[in-house]
Amino acid sequence: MEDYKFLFKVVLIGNSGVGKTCLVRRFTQGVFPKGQGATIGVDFMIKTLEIENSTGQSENVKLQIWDTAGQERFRSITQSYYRSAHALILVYDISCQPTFDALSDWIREIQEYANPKVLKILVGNKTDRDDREIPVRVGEEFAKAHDMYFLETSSKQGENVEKLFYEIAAELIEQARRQKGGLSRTHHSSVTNLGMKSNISNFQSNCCSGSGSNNN
Amino acid sequence: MDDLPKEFDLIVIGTGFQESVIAAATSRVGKTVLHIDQNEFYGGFWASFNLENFMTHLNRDTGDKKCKIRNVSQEWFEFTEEKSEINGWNKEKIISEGRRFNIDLIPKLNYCNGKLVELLISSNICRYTEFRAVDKVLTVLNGKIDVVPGSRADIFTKKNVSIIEKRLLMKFITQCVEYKREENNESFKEESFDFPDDGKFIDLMKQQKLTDNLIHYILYAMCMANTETTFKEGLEAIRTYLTSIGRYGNTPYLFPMFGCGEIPQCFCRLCAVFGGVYWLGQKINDIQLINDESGNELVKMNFGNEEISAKKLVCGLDSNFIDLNQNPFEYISRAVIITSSPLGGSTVNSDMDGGGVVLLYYPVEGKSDGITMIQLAHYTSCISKGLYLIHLSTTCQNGAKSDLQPFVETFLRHDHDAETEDDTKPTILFSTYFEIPSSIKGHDYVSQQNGPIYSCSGAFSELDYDESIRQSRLLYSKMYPNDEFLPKAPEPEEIIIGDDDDDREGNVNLGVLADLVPENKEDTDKVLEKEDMNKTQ
Repeated sequence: MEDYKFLFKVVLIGNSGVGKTCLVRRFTQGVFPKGQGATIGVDFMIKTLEIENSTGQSENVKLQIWDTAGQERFRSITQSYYRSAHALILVYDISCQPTFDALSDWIREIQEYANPKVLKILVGNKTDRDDREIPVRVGEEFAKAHDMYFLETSSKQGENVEKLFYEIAAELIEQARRQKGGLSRTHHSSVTNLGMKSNISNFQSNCCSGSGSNNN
Repeated sequence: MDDLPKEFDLIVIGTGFQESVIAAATSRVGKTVLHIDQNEFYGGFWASFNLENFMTHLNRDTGDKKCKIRNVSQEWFEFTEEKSEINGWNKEKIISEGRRFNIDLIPKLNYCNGKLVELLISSNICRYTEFRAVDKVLTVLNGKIDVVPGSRADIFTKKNVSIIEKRLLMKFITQCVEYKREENNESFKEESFDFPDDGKFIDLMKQQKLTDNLIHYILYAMCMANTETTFKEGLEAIRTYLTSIGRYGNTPYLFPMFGCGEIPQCFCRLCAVFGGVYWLGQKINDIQLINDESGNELVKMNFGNEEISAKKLVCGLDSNFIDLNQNPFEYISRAVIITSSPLGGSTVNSDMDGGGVVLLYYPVEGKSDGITMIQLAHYTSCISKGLYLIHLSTTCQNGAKSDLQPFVETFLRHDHDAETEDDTKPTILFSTYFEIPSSIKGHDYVSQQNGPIYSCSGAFSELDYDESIRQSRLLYSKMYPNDEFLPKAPEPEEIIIGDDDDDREGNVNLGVLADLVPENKEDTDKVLEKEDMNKTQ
């Protein structure tokens, strides 16, 4: 067993070029990618964080951060991308009005496909730019109107990037605690993830030759 | 920066299952893929919709399109003042919840040990979706709905199967598993069946002195076969059943959470991750074959304001670019029925709240395939709690309504009488019938294709995706004979990202994926709702 107590799926959405991939890479690898195009084959990135809980103990949390794989370019994100996300980060570029104008379209998609209780965060990225078009207050108001958290970041300078993901992790832990049983990691039989190796067993042991190991 | 490249290795039109598999496989080995769909949604004839979009889709004007959903009819229960609701549900309430439904055009189940599950695991596409193990398999025995004993434990707790029958069944099943045609061992042979491959499976079972009860369970419920099924086919079917059972649950089947429309999308996601470009909702004006300077054939496509060329083109059945004279196709008769109580009532639902997935295969006399019934409840995220989504499918013979009548008239009712004791027949609150284009006729249509334009078939009248996968592999190997078919996609930690001087601290590591869906969504939602209230106070 690996040493982590929670695993959360965080997905990023927003127009092309707002810096989604840069946010993830800055956070998971501490780098600001210089060029585009090196991300072929990357599905999601993982980072394990240490979070101090309300009782003062620190716990390991694994964030699985999913990128759009470019499908946002022509508005063709698969619905399955939104399914079972614990948190959703909607990103716009503070120096590019059209990326802010597109937010309502993104909200519609979220409403259609994501779990209604998903944690939503609005992020205005690229605060390092000096040609700001969207005042902080406008972003804040939009977030408030749509029941979202709000933060401005700069992947280039690293500003607020750590904060963004640490706050998401802390909030998701709190949410998980409020649930009965508390841990999002507990395995349960009703939903099957095919990748779980422990599921694979030989039928003969539980059907024919008789140990009945699966029927207990 | 949104300039679309003008040249691709492959253009795929349509996001149905086969098209998506081909797109993913091609992109996976490093070729450039443009994947488009003229619809605004993924999946074509394989899509799932919420209630409103489902109705809009079935009733939309498709113009002079030849390959389309046909003979659509729909009906609501007539709620009156005296009967304003059934089990708390009426038309308005169902419609108001309909946004959270996921209704499949073509519902399918997957054998736990079947080709789709195998492919999802071997390619690592399984990380994009989750499944629910089918809770129960039903059959109709002597006119009554009965639960099929799946596991060994089930068989031994079943009251209407005698001890002698249990022994016979176990012996027969064991023999089926161990039977090998090429076995040379004489002593083994004596233990094994002495029966011709093309003899009828039912005759073998009679020869082995299985009782009618057992023959029924094996033939209809485990093998989904009929009296004409050969020994060879029967043996294969029962082996698939047996190797699938107990792998993920107590039945051999899985159903994708949020519906079967998720499946093609998983392949699309993989295609995109490896660089495939996606564009939905764009009308294609024109496709032409041209020759480049060196005389090679190229496909030129005009769509939107773009002109793109590609070395190869793959068209889905609903793309309108398949020559239907050369590729005649068949239809599947479908019914989608909503009820507020589960099939078979309390007699077969006493052990659970009916919250899962139930399969029933109903043989129809004089028809090579019977009616397949898949009942979905809220744990699948396909319907609201308290409602049941009943999918009926069979190959189209005399039209959807008439093909599916035998099942509907026997196990469901159109009226509602709360007084009656018999709750085995749920009342139909809503029903819709339609016929949907399915497979291209002829199993060798793939081998006749020589490109550079290829066509994909629709769904086959099979429970799983085995034939679709077989054909996709075949088509892919025709298109790219030297390339591997969907090798395992790397885990995130195996990927070396092309930055020169980054300083990674080993924080990228992925082990076993934990389940991402809470065990009991309702409970979670309730708790979260409470918390929301606390927050606002």
